[in-house]
Amino acid sequence: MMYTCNTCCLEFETSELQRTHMKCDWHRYNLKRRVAQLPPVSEATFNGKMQQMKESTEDDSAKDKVLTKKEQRRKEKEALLEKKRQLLEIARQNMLKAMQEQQKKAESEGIMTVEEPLPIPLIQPKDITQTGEENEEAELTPDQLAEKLMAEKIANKVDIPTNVCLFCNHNQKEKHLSTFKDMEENIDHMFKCHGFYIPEQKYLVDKEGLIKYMSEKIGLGNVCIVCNYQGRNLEAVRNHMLSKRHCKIPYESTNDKLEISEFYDFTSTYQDYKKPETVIVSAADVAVAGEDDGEWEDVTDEEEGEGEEDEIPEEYLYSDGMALHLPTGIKVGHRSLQRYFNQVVKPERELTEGQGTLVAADTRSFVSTFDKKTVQVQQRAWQSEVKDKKRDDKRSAKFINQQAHYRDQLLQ
Amino acid sequence: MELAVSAEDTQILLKDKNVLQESVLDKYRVAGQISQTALKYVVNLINNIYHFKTEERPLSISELCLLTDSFILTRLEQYYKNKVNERGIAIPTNIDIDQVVTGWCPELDDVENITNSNKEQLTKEDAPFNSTVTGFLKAGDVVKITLGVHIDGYTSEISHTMVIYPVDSSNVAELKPAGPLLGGKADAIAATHIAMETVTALLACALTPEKLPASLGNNVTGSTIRNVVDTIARSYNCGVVPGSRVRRIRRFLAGQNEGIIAEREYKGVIWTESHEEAKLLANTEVKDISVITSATPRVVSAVPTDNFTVSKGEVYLVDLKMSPLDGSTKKGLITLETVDSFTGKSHKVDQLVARSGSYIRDYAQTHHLKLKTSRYLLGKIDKQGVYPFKLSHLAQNFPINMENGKLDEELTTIKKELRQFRLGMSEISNNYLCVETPIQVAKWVPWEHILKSNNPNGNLTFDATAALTLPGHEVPLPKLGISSMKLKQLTKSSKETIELPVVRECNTVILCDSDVSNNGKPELLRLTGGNKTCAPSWIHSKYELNVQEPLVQGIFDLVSLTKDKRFGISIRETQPMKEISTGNKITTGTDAMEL
Repeated sequence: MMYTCNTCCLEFETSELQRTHMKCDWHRYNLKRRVAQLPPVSEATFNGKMQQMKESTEDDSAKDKVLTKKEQRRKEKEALLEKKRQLLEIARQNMLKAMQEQQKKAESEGIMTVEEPLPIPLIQPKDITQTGEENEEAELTPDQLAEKLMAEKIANKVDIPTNVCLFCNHNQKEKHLSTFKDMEENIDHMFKCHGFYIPEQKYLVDKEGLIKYMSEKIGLGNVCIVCNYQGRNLEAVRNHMLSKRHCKIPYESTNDKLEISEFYDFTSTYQDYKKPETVIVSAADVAVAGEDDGEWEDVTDEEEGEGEEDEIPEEYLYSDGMALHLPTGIKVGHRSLQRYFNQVVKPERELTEGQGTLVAADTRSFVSTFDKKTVQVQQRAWQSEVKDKKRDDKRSAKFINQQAHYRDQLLQ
Repeated sequence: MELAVSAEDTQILLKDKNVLQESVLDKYRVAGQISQTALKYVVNLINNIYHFKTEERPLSISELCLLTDSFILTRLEQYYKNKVNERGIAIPTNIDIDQVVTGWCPELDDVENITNSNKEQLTKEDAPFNSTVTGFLKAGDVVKITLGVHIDGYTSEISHTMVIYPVDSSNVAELKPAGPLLGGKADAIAATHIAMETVTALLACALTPEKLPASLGNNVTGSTIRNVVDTIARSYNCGVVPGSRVRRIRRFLAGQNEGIIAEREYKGVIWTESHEEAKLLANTEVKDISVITSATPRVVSAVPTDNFTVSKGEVYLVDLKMSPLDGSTKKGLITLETVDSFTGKSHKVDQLVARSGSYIRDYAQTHHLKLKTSRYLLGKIDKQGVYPFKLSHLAQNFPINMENGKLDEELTTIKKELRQFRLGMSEISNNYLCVETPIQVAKWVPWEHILKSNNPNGNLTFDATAALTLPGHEVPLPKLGISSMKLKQLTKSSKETIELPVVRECNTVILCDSDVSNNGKPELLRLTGGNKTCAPSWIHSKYELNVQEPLVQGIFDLVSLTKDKRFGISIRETQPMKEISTGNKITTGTDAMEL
């Protein structure tokens, strides 16, 4: 008989061993991971994590003991968010720069050539011990911090070529497994194995750009493409994406659509808008759209993709406080009034002329005054009527001759 | 839900729309024409079945009713299409025989129920409701046909009495009745016909009150009309049946809703048990009667009184019902008994068990119905209008297509559809959204039986099944304090109670002033009735009017005035359309059987 631990995927010889294992911190940690639907970690990894934690907590507690745990957590969170935002912005700018360069290059060459994968080999990001740098970070100004982070990131950058799967987490030896002949094959693989689906392929003009953008997001930013989870390194973010099934391009909210809109060209769908020039989505517009997105909802049921048209002729878009009037003629009501839009009101009864005449001519009033005395008299009258009837029935029944044949009493 | 109509709308609906104009008059005229034609049609059908015997398949009463309704609707199709919102049947065709006063229009699917619950009537040939139950007429029956048409609420109603004669078959080329009708029924027919003509002439006199004979007063009032009708009835040993009325009608208010709504500004003479009671009490020697006064209703104008004057530009419905009183020498009270379908299937000879075929919607009632079928049905009913309807009127196949000759098939499909309607209708009527129009039977109760009965509760007993009553006339015998339930009980308890045959004539007339009439002179337009359409049957009555009486003298003067073309009063009749149906022309000459 074997004693096992399903959580940590272990086997034990004796029940004693199993019991001791169950009590240890490693098992508890794995249990928590299991609850979060994450795979268990090995003992070595756990110990390493513990070591790290200890070091960082020591530092933290030394630095600000005064802060409560809640505040600490909040601060950490804020810092993380800030970092993330900066990273994203940098990634964006880089991307744009790259694209401009590419464009220039294409213009100079006169023909568009498919860019070859950069000759930078795939390298495992270096493990950086941040312990030493943490103290310095606190003293730096935000700008400097950003620069520093950027530098760090660039140093850790892993360039994933377009023919390499974005998600497969193979080490150096097995690398050939996730490397394909060309981009198309790679995309095919990613679609089949990871469910990486590229939306609206009909209007996609720069497929390579999109893939590159995604690879940069993962390789440089170490950010999950779906939930913007900030991984510690490429491996971590890949693990996250694989385990959470975050291997897809989000294409639901307007924000998501705007993020990848530069690789698309929807001008063919605008019938009344004949200007194939680049649609410039200013940052302000994006911000406005981003804010409004959560707050406004469509009053009329319209098919998806209508949101793209928002930007076309701006002059007809206005809000009158209660509703947002879109240039297409759709009125978008505010969410706070949702309950009123959802109401199905019974239509008011419309009288025909005949019915109206009858109602107008009628003098009945249905509110009758309740007079206690008359009701009492009436009830008494009913009661006595019933009583009289019963008595009369009884009396008449008395004299009914129910004998079928004559029977002489004397002969009985 | 509270329903209210604003004061301006009330003014428009009740006053402005009732002002006689050329357009309004035209709608009335067309409605009158159609009802005249429909009457001709149904009379023709009955003649063919029972007198000429040309129909290979005799139609029962329920089928006749439905066919006439269908005929009206098909006729109406051609007039005012898309010009008016509402037009249709104002009364489902009723065919009442002998003792049945009103309301006999059984549905197709009801025929079986009626025969099942009235076995005694079926088996006995001389039972009072024999023809009513069998659905087929026999010689000697007095048949009252009632129908009505409205266009945009302007209504014309007609009721005519015809007699089924035994046919004299000696001369095959020209069939003739074997002889005139004699006896009580003949008296009633004569009295009703004369009363109808007199009241029409009297109403015509309201246009030119200076021509009114001196013995009838200065102008035409409610009491004049009552006196004239009562005198004629008395002369022919008849009684006016309760429920008779001479009333002003207005747009959508043609008397069809009497008893359901308490109509504002009711103008008309009505005959009820209370009027009979007043007359009987005036002659009685009994002194120790406890007179109980009933509470007065709130809106006084809704209570019908005789205290009104007939004026120009009004439309009147003259609905007269009379019964012969030759059954007994005693004094008695004519009363109406409402027939219902739930008072036991006792198979008594003097009792009719049936449910009403037509309903009327009460728009003041609202209720959210639970069944899908009933909601669907109510939607149909509301669309149909404010007039009484039969369930078969709501069927998909109605009006019946009579062109293709598949009458039986059409009737079967309607019958099938009725089953579904019955289900919905029960919920609707249980919640008082619709009221059954009652079937009423005339009965005579000896007066002394009523006087001798003890009535400890007075008029406090309440009859939930009481027929529709007019405001102020809820208690049938207010002076004796006898409620309708008590009266019903009295009618049943007396052995001397008899069923009375009833004759009914009903016409609609318009008092046109000189500004709307054709020849510029004020004239009375008789929408329905008249000698061309409603020729009186061949009867001999042993009574005649007593010329010595001043009132009777006045009546004779009136009749001579109508004959006088130059200085008299002018009455114009609406003629039926020439063509009854395609390929089946009717001769406009007098019918041999009818006279």
